[in-house]
Amino acid sequence: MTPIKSLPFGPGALAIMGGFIVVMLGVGLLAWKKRRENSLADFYLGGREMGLVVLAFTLYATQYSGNTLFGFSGGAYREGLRFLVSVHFMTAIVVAYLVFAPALYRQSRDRGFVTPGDFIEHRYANRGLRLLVTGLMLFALCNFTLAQMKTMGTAFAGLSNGGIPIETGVIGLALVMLVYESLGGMRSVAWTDVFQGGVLFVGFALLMILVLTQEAGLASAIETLASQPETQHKVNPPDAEGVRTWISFILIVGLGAAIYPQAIQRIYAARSSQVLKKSLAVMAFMPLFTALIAVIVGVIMAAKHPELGAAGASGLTERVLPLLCLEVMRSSELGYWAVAMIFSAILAAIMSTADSALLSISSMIAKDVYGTCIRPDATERQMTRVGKYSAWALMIPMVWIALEFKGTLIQLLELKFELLIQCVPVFYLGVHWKRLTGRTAIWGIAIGLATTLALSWSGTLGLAVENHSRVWGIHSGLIGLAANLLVCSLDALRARQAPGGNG
Amino acid sequence: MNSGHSRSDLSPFKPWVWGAFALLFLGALPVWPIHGSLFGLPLWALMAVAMSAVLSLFTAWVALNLWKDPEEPSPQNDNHDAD
Repeated sequence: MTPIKSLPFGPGALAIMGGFIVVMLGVGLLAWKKRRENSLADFYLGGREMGLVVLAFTLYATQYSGNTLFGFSGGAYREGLRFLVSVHFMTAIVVAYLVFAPALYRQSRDRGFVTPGDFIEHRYANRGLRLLVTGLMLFALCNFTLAQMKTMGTAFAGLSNGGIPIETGVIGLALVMLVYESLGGMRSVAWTDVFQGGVLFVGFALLMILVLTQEAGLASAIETLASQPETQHKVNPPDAEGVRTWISFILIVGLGAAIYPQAIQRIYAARSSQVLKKSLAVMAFMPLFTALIAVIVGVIMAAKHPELGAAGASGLTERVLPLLCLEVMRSSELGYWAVAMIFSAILAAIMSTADSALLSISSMIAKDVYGTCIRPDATERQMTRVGKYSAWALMIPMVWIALEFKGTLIQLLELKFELLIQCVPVFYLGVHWKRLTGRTAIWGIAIGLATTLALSWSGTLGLAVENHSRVWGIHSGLIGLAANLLVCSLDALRARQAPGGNG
Repeated sequence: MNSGHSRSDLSPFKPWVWGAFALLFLGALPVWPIHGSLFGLPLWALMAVAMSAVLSLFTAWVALNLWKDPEEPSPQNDNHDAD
């Protein structure tokens, strides 16, 4: 039995969860009543009316997922203080937004964009590029949603104390998500995010208080880790290769997470540029209140339970946080309710991230695939209906794979970033650099993908002795992005020097 | 791109802002020869967190003060073309 299943939750925790579900369904119903028209912008962007509180919370709840709590604390358990890089790469996401969001927001207002594909079609007038980027984004999002569904099942099994089978939990929560999302679209998702984000924030605060009051403290944990030869590396700064990996992580997560379709659609959905910039200003501080707390939890648990290291890396991400919770729950009645709240926060984080991804998938299938390739003369009402149906249809294989897939959260996270990051030039350069053409961007993505996959599967393909997910500490996806950017730059230079070029 | 708004006007990333971000990220990396500890915590880690806090402050400041949008009321906005 895994620690998460041994947590002594009972009817009280289930009652909290039940209350959550009722609130979320109620919000969905309210959002359905508040709908204004049957249009794509109304359903997928909430009518472009998102105010500061809703936008800040929905950005927060979408960006900080179940992976932040489980994955980051597990990462800090393995890496120790070296996992402080997570604070930097979560901040880098906000910096990355500032590179392209001002221009993209303005264009989305002027042109009425709904999906990232709309920007691509307008900017490059290249349907092939639109489909290629949409395909990569759909792959990343399905991957992302799967990771959330998998964690959702584990967390729900813990909350029900094994009383409700994991399959029932995943299917039940997926249905709840689908219902409130189909009712109110982005309004439902964003409004539930306010609730879920609030719970998540309180959960992190509780976690911090529990760690500092129940455990010996961070300084004591560091002293313990430093005194043992086998754990000493967890308090020492990274070596040269480790520093390169820090830089690689900051770039790959910072650049990649900012162009998630659900992130781009929140830029489109802001009521005004003032609202958007204030929301991003708030988001700039969130790594200090979330990622940093997860790192502290991981470090303290590394000192207290070094034996978990023997389980191997794959099991750790799901063990560190539940083990801490188990100790807290056993300590007092207050501890029981605090942990029930934290687990509810985890479920809230997972659901808010998954529902945002699912809504983006639905919008891209409706607008970029159905409305662009299959039936270009479809009305907005028809596209919205197709989007809703596709979300329901997609959920069936996703739930099935989530229940069958045995990989870890971090593996899933890394896999999707390697490919998604190849879309970086299309957005970051696209909004600022006129010379980048659609044809060049396609070649850049193709070369970037080929480089990334050749490195990642070099061993499997017989090109090297082993696979190289990182070279010299740098992620293969980032090396692919360098090749991608080189192609874009050289082609623009060639066009400039060619007769008739505007250089 | 066919948008009437000047991209350089909209972007908060002036050359000095790029430089400041580069310096802050560099400062946040654990590459500095800082040894010892403070309150039992390694100085290199404290430096990384402190720089991250400064980075957050600067990011928020850039978002709020350097990002100009034509929809905001400002005398300069009269010069922007409509699409």
